[in-house]
Amino acid sequence: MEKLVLIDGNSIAYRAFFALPLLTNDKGVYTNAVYGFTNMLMKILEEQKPTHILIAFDAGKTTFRHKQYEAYKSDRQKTPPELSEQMPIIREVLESLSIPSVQVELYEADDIIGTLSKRAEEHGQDVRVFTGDKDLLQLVSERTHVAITKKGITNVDWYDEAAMKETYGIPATHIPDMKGLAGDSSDNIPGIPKVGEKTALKLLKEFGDITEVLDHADDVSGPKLQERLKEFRDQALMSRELAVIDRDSPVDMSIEALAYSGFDSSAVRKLFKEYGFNSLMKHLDNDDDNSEEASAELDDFTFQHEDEVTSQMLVSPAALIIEDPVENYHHADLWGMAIVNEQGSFTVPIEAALASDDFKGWLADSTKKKYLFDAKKSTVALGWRDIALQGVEFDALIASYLIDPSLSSHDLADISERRGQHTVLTDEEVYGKGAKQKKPEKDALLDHIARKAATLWKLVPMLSTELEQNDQKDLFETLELPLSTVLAEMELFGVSVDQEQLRVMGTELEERLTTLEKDIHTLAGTEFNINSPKQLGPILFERLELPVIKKTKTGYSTAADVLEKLEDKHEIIPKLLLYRQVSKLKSTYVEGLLKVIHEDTNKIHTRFNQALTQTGRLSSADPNLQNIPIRLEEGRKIRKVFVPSKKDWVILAADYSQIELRVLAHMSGDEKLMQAFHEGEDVHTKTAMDVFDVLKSEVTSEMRRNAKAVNFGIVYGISDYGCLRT
Amino acid sequence: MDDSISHAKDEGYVTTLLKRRRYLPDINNRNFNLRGFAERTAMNTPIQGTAADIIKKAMVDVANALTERNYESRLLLQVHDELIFEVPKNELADLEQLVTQLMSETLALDVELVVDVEHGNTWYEAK
Repeated sequence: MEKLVLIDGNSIAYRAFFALPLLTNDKGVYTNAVYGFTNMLMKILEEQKPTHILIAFDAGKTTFRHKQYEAYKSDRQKTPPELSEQMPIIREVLESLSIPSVQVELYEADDIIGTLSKRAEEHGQDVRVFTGDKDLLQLVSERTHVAITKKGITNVDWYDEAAMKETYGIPATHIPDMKGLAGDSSDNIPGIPKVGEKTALKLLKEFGDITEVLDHADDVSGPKLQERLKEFRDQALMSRELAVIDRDSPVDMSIEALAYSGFDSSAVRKLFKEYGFNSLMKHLDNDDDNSEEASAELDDFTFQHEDEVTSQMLVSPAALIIEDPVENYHHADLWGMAIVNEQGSFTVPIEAALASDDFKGWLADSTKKKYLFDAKKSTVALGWRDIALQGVEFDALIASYLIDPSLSSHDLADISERRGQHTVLTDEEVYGKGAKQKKPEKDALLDHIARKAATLWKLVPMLSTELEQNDQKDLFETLELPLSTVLAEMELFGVSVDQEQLRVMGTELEERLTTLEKDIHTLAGTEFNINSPKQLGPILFERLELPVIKKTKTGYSTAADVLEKLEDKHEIIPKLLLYRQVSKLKSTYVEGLLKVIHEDTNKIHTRFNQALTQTGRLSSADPNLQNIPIRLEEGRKIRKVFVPSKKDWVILAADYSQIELRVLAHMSGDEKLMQAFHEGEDVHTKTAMDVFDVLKSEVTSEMRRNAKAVNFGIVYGISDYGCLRT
Repeated sequence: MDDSISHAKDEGYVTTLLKRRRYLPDINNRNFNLRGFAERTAMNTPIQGTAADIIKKAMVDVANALTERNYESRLLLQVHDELIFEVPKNELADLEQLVTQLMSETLALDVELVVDVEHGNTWYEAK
């Protein structure tokens, strides 16, 4: 089946312009309407797979309708110059996509669309019309469906005959009749005063078309309405005329000329690059030609591998790589340094760089703008060497994370790959991973570090545009970037731990384990290795004859969820669960914390991960502070080892109370919840009163518990079922 | 909260108060379980994420204030909804007041942000 897509160019450009913030590319050209328009176009091409396509534009301000009614569209505001400027670029995009466009003197885009949809229907084609303007709904038929853009622009409401019936209750061809009666203030069509869309539809449903409504003016209810229908009869008929789309306008284009056979990716890619539309690259074929082209681009890059830092390197802005690939960067050697700026691309051996006062002065100079990848890591790595890093203007890691936190990798190579750049390999590919990580020989190392800096230099404007498109500039500049400096300071400063207390706790937990072990052996009636599932399985399921819940390849499952199901079946089970928890506390926290105490500072220096969680919360490693168990008193006691670093100082803890429920109240605008907070009432009791429809005095503890589960179910995204079970 | 789901269905992502976003590719999936999970995520991510916005902004605000006012006190850790400091005793009263104020004024919500402060010789005692 052939399918013609017709797009109302002005209307879509207009919508895009107002839906998106006023973006510019790196040359200062406004691009928001172009971006929105192109984004929608790419989506239409992918989803509709049209065999024929055309974009219709208005020719100018004056149309044949002005001869009928001088004031037609006279209230329209002038097109903002920021939008007018973008129209030629939109045409450029259409040209690169090989999509035909047309405008016809004295006619509106609507008339072109009306005319071509009629011709296409006669050819037996299906027609899909995209517009922001409901005038075009009059074209809806069995073959022609109309999509009206919603808030935002890539989303649309579809109208076919059924949807017309449901929404308006009149045939599509009577839409002009409705406008004739109700008028249309946006087009300055007068209609009949004080008759709105609702009244107009009611009348049309009752009497048929506009002429019949006007002819039956005496039969409508309400003397005032009767009067107005008579008085403004001519104005109504003229208004209808204005609203009728001319489906036989002089469009000098055959249906055959609209046949569409796709576009040449490389031309489009060039254009997208020019205007900074990196996020649209994903719509383009990633064929081998292009990847070769991209890597060739970087091969043209010449790196100067210098022995010393020179003044050429120390300008602003500059992309800076301080290579520090070891996971725990608190203890790491630095592997190299590279700078890319407008003067060129440079590497210098890290020892020479760190010995240079000029370089250190440049690093510390906050007026010298620097682009980094994981600025926190570099700040910490340099901080351990008493070198300050300031003036971080951009962090590609954080930018990539904010643009899409769901990505599993934010390696520089992956970030650039996603934007059609194949200029560098991942660290893992070059250095290996984990224990197998190895420093390559000098030339390969310098090449990789230099490529990273060059890639970073190219990525910054792209990522910056995307942040702007996402309306995330503020989040990036005023929250996440300053936060990375705060976190770097916290990591470097560290926290003191009372090692004596930690050892005492270790001994206590050890004793606890010994007692538990004895109890478990007594209950089992035999001695065995509790930590071995192979020995534990037969004890539980053969010797004690507990019901088998789950089997594994090697025998019985003794996983935590299995034990939890058996909890009330035998005394041994709660003891086993406790044994495991205590044993975990001992190994992860007591032994784990002792392991990460830094030998120079005697403190713990955690590492916050600012680019990991999907929700935006911070996480931390070595130790993972977010995970210290607090349910168990033994777990809570771990906090005893965190002490001030100076004598007579104290620890101050400031905790947001019920922050998630408060945010829930704010975001849902739920008045009862808000009221509970305002009045300082117990929120869960309040919810229980509401859910169970009882008075405060009647709320039982069970009701409150259920209400609490409902509240937190929403906060934590637990399913309804899970809620009820709690 | 239902707005959050319909926004996700239309746009493919949800946002927090400070424009953090999370894409939910399964929001229109035909598979009931996948879609259900995405829908619940569409409801809870704006809440969790806004809580993250708040605590992160509080960290920046508090750290800046400590530097600007030349306090010796230091921000040590952030755990869940809690900030942990070490404080010399002569700054304690000031800090309790300053931290409470800055944290509760981080973002203006329609409900008050309430902050509990405690101190002690160890983190355990500051509870």
